[in-house]
Amino acid sequence: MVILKKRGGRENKNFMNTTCIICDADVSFPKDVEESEVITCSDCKSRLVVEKIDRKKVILAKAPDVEEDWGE
Amino acid sequence: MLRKIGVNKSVPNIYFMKTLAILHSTVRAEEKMLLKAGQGRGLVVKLIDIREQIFNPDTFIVDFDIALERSVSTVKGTYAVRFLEAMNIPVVNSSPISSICEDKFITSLILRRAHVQTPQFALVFGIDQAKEAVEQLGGFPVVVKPNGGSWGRLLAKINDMDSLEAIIEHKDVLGSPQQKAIYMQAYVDKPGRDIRAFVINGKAICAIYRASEHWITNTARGAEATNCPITKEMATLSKKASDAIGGGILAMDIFETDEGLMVNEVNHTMEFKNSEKPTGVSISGAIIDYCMEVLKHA
Repeated sequence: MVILKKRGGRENKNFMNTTCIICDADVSFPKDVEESEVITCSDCKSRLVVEKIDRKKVILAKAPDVEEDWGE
Repeated sequence: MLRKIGVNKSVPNIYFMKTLAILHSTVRAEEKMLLKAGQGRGLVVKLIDIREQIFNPDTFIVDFDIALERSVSTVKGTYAVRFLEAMNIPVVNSSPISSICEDKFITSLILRRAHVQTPQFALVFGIDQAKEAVEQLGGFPVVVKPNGGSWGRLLAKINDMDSLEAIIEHKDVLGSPQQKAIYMQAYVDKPGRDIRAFVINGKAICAIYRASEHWITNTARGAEATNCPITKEMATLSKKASDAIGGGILAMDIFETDEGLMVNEVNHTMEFKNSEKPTGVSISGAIIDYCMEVLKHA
């Protein structure tokens, strides 16, 4: 699971920036993130899903809850 | 003017111009590792979110050669596999394999029939039968687990009659119809760990120890993974269990007991992100290679 990290210091070309939709924290995450991937905000610990990657902009949504039939 | 398309001679023929679809719901680290492994082998890899599909046989467009089922949701994944197989597309793992592995009781029956060492087990639908099953399984403690569960959830180690009555009542009142099919296993004392073997087409390619002070040793519940060498006994047991289930890509949970190794459970949509590093084996690569072998013989 990817954890969103607070933005700070020098920009890292391997990371993208966005805003947590729950707590509005500025966060960054790896550029190789995929649509439907679940990430966690390091500030508020909310589980978020990458809904869409649109022209280098990432659209987040609240991740679906774990369901009874999830697993291996 | 037509461009001459050169052949990349470093890419084996079986991968050339082939398209692999990875069926998924939530994308985990494993799906990303598989994507990378497939692309690294020269495959065209499509990520297909099955939650966004309309599985209509009259309109569904198949633009891939083989599918690898990696949905986190067992129910959704099962329907996707069945649909694609009906459209004559090979899928890994196939529905005969997944229909066994997605149900612990069915898995236990298949393993037992093939004389694969596995814990004693029973299935009951009520408290009276559960009490009698405890006697048949050698007394307390016993383990109650959901037939379709994963990640170490809803497991109960039941040490006495009071606990048994409480758990069965909870399942009876709060549970779904599926939860009311109560799978019971004799409790097996483990040496603080169990083994997770990764078995592809009958061959154990690598394994990890999962160590925990807790009796539940899933890494999802915090167990620590370290490399476990494949012994001859493990290789033989893995092959026997795999043959009973029908091959495919399987993750086997194995106990070490005084009577030897025994297979506790078999998983058909394995997670392995914490296992490539300690074992040094590219499990993702091995899965992709297996998919291409299946395609070659399809």
